[in-house]
Amino acid sequence: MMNKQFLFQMQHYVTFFPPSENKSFEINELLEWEATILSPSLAYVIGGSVKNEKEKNNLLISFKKLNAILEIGKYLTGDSITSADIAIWSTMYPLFKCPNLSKEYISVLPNISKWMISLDGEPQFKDATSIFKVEGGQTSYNALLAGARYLVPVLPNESQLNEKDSPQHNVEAVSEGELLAAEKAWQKDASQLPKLKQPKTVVLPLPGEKNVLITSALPYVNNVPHLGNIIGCVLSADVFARFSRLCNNNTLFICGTDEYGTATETKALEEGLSCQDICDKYFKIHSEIYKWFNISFDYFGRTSTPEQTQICQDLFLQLNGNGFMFTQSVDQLHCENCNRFLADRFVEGGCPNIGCNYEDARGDQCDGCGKLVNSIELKNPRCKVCSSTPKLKTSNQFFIDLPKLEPLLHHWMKISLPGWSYNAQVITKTWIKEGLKPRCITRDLKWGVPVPLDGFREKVFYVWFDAPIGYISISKAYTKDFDKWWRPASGTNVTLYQFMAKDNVPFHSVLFPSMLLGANKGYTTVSHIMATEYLNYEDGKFSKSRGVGVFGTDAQSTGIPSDVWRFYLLYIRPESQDSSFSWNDLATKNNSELLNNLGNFINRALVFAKNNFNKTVPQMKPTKDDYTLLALCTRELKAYVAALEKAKLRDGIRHILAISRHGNQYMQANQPWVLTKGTDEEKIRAGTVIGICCNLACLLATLLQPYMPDTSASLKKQLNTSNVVIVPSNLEIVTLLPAGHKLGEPFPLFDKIESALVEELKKLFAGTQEDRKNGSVDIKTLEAEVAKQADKVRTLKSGGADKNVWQPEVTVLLELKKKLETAQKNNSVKGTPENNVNLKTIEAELAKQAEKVRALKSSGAAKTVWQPEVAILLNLKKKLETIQNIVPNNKVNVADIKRLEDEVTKQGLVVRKLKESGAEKSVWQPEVDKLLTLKNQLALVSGTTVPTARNNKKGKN
Amino acid sequence: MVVRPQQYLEYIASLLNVKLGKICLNNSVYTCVIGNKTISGVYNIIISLLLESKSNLSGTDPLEKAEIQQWIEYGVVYAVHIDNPHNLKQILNELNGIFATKTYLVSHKLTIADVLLYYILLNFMKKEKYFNVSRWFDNLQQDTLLRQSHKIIDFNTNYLVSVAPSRH
Repeated sequence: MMNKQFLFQMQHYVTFFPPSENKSFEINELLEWEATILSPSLAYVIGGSVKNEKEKNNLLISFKKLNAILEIGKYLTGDSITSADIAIWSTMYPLFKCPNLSKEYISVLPNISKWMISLDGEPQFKDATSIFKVEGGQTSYNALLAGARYLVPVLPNESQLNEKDSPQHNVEAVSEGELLAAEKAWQKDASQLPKLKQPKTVVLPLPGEKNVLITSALPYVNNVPHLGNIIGCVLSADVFARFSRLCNNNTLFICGTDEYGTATETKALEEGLSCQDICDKYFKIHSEIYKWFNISFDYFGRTSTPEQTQICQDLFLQLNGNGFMFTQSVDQLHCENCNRFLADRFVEGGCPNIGCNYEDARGDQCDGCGKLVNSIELKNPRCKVCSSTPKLKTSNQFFIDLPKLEPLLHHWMKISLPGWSYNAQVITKTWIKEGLKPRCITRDLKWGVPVPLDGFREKVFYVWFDAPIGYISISKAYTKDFDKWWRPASGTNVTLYQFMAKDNVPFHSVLFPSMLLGANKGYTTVSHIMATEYLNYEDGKFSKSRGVGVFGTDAQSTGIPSDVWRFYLLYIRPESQDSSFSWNDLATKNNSELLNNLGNFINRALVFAKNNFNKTVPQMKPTKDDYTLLALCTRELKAYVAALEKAKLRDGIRHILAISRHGNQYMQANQPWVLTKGTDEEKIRAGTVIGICCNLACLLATLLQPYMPDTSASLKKQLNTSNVVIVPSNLEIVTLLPAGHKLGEPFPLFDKIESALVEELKKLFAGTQEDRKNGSVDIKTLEAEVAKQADKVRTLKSGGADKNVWQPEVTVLLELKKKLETAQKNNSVKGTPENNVNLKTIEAELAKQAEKVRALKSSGAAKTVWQPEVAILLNLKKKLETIQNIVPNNKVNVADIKRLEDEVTKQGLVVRKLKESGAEKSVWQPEVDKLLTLKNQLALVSGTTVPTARNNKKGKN
Repeated sequence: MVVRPQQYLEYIASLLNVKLGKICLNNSVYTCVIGNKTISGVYNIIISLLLESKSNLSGTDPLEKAEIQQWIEYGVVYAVHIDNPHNLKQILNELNGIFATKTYLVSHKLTIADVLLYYILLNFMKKEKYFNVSRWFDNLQQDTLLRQSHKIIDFNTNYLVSVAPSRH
C-alpha cells in the first residue's frame, strides 16, 4: 500500500521507487515483454504442463533472448539493478528454485544462471525470499495460470495454419456417447415418431396435455404498423406459436386490434370519419398486413365488440364487489362549447414548467421543454377542437386500489417472474420498487366501454383497463368455450405466453395480473412475458407518428418475399438490446446466409439426387464420419429447441444455419461428385452422403417452418414429405427419408438481392412517409386520369361517333399519356418500385448467371456442377418473362410503340444506305448500335422478349 | 483472436494527432516508428505518442504514472482478450467494481488509461447489466474528439421506460 492507493500488479509496485529515468524505455519494454510473453509462456508450459511443442519452443526462445540480453551487462539494463531485474528475477525464481527445471532450462544458458545466482546473493533479495516462502517449480506457475484467469498465450497463426494444412474441414470433437446415440437414433425411422396433430377448427385445452395460450400485444388501431411493431409482437409470437404446434401442444394464438380510447377519437377527427369507421378501416389494413406476413393467428379479433363490453363490465363489477375499487373526485378541464371533458391530448396551452415559455404545450407533455405536464396546470388552456377556453370541473372517477392488491401480486410474482425475459423482469421490478399507487380507470369520453353503474354511465373505461381484457374477449369471439382457456378446470394446465415490446410490460406484468388476481375467479395469469427491445431504422428510430421507416404495407411493395422479411427481422430481433434494421444488412444476410449457406446446401443435395439417383433417396451405409455429422447436427437441434422453448428466437435461427453449414462442409469434404464416378464402393459412399444430406434437408424443412413457412412448404414439396413432430423430451435425428423415398422436383429456394435494388430501396424509403407520398401521388392521379380518358375514347368510338367528335379526345389522351411518362421517368427512383426495380435486377442477375454457366461449361466442368446453375438460370428467365408480361399489360403505351417503330424503320434505312454506299465499318458501326438500342427499347415496351431470346441462345449451347 | 494493438494504437494516434508508423512484430514485441525513433513495446509506443503530442492525458506525479502504467498493462495483457464471451463477462465485471467508486481510472481526470480501455472495449460494450462501466463509457463517448467516427451507444433504454412509461 502506498498513499492508500493499491497497486495491484507487482511490476508497477516496483517501478514506483527506483529512480531510473534515463533507462525508462528499456525497462518498460522489458517489463512488457515479461508480462505479455514470458509469464504466459511459463504459466502455460510449466504451470499447465502443456505438451505443445510450439509453445515449448516459444519459451526456449524467450530464455535465449534473456540470455542474450545478459551477455552485454551484468544486469538487464547495464551495470545497476533496476525494476526490470527485480520483476523478471521474481518471475524466474520458482524455475530457478526447482532443481529439475533449473537443470532442464537454465543450466545451458550460463548468463541467466550467473544473473540469477548473483541477485539471489543480494541482501534485499535474501530478505524477500525469507519472508515470502516461494515453492519451486510447477506449483507456483500453476498458481500463476489459475490466478491470471484469462492469460491465454497468444498463438499467432496456429488456427490459420491448421486450415491451410488440411483440406479436410475442421471436425469438432464429438464424444463416444454422442456418436452412439446418433447411430442408435439413425436406426429408427419416421414411423416410430408420434404423429403430428391435425389442425382443428377450434383448439381447446385438454387435461393432462400441454396447453399453450399465446397472445401478442394488441396493436393500436389508429396507425399502420411498422417493422418494429411487427417483430416486437406478432411475428415473434407467430414463430413461437408455430413451434409450439410442431411440438404437438394444444396451441391457441390470438391477437386483435385495440380500438377504444382517445387516440382513435383524435384520428377520427383528423380524417373526418366516425370512430367505428376508423376502426374498420385500420382493422382491415392490419389484418391484411399480418396475412401477408403469414402470421398464423387462430383468430385475429378486435376490441370494439359486445363480448368486450360484457367481459370488461363483469370484471369491473367483480373487482368492485371484492373491494378493490374506490371513487375519488378528479379535477378535469371541461369544454362548454363541445360539452365534454377534455382528455389530455385535447387541450393545449402555455407550458407551466418554470423557465419554459412554450405556448403550444400539449395536455400530457410539452414539446418545448420535453417535460411531463399536468393538463390542469396549463396556462391559458384552450380546447384543441374549438379553441374556446375550458373550465375546471370536478368529476368522480373510479380508481383501482393497487396498493391493496400488492400482497397478492407479490405472492404471484414470486412464482411467475423467473419465466420472463430479462428486460421484463427489470422493468417490473423498477415499477414495484417505486411503490404501487391507485390508478384511475375511468374517463369522461364517449368511445369506449361504458361503466355499468348508475351515476357513472356517461363514463367509459380507460384504455389500459380495457385493452388487456381484449385477450379474453377475443378468445370468446373465437369460441364460446373460451372459459376453458381462461378459467381452466382443475387438472387442465394452461400456460400463457404474452409477447410485446418493452413499453407494454407494466400493463401485462402489474396491471392486468392485478385485475385478474383481484377478481379471484381462477383466471389464467401470464407465466411468460416475452418483451423485446426496440428496433431502429438504419441509424434513426422508426416512428409511426412521423412516418419514418418501413411500414407493413411498404414491405409488400419491395418485391422481396415475406419469408425473407420474416427471416431478417427474426435474425436481428432486438432480444437483449436494441438492434437496427439496415437495407444493406438485409441483402447481405439474404445472400450469405439464405442463398449461399442454407439454399445452396439444400439445392446441391437435391439436384444431385435428381441427376444421379433418379430422384430417389439412395441406399445409405453410414460410417463413423457420418455419425459424427449427425451427432453435431443433433447438438444444434437440441440447442434450437432449447432456444425456442425460451422464446430466444434469434438464437434458434442461428442453429438452423449451423446445421446447413455442417452439411455444406460435409458435402465439400466428401465430394460425392467425385465418388459417383469411382468404384462401386465409392458409389455407395456417394449415395450415403447424398442420402444423409437429403435427410438433413428434411429436418431443416421442419425446423424452418416456424421462421419461414412458405419456404418450408416449398421445400417439403421438393422433398415430397410433410412436417415431422418435434419431441422436446427426446431429441434425435432419425431416418426421416428412408432409401427409395421418391423426391419431388428441386428448384432454388432463394433469390439473390442485388446491391442495385438495395440502393434504390434505400433512397425510396429515406425521409418520412409524407415525402414519399408526394412523389407518387402525381403518378397515381395521372394514371387514373389516363384510364378515365381512355374509357371515354373507347365509348365514343364504339358508340360509332364521328371522327370529328373523338379526335380531340384522343389528343387529350395522348397528352395525358406523355405527362404520365415523364412523371414516371422523373420518379423512377421515387415511384412505385415493384416492377421497374424487379425487371432491372432480374435482368442483371440473368446476365450474370448466364455468364457463370458459360464459364462453367467452357471450363469443362462436370454436368453435376453446372446443372444446378442452369436450373437457376431457367428459373430467372421464367421470372423475367412473367414480370415482362405484367408490365406491358398494365401500361401498354400505343403512342410509344408507334414512335419507336417509326424510329426503327428510319434508323434501319440509314444503316442500309450507309452500308450500300460502301462506307467503312467505323462509320456505320455507331449507327448500327443505335438501331440495336432502339430495337431493344421497342421490344421492352411491346412486351416481346427479344433481349431474353438472346440470352436463351447462349444459355443453351 | 484478441483485440489487436494496431486498432487501438491507431485510434490513440489519431486522437493525439500524431503520425504513427507501421506497427510490426519484432521478436514478438510490437515495434513502430514515431517521429524518427523506433519504439518497442505497446506501453512505450503509447508513452511516446503522449510525449510527441504534449497532451495532458499523462499522469502528473509518479504515483499517477505508475497507476497509468498499471492500467495500460491491464488493457494490453487482459482486456484485449475481451472477444471471448467468458472473458467479456469477467472484464466488465471487474471494471464495474472499479467504477463503483470512481469516475475515472486514475486520479480525478481523464487519462490515457481511460482512453485506451475505451478503445479496447468499444465494440464489446454490453448495456443494461454493468451500470458503472456503462456510466463511465457513456461519459467518455460524449467527447466527440475521443469518440471519433464511432457510433454512440445508447444506454438509457430501461431507465426511460420506467420513469416515463408510454401511454396511449
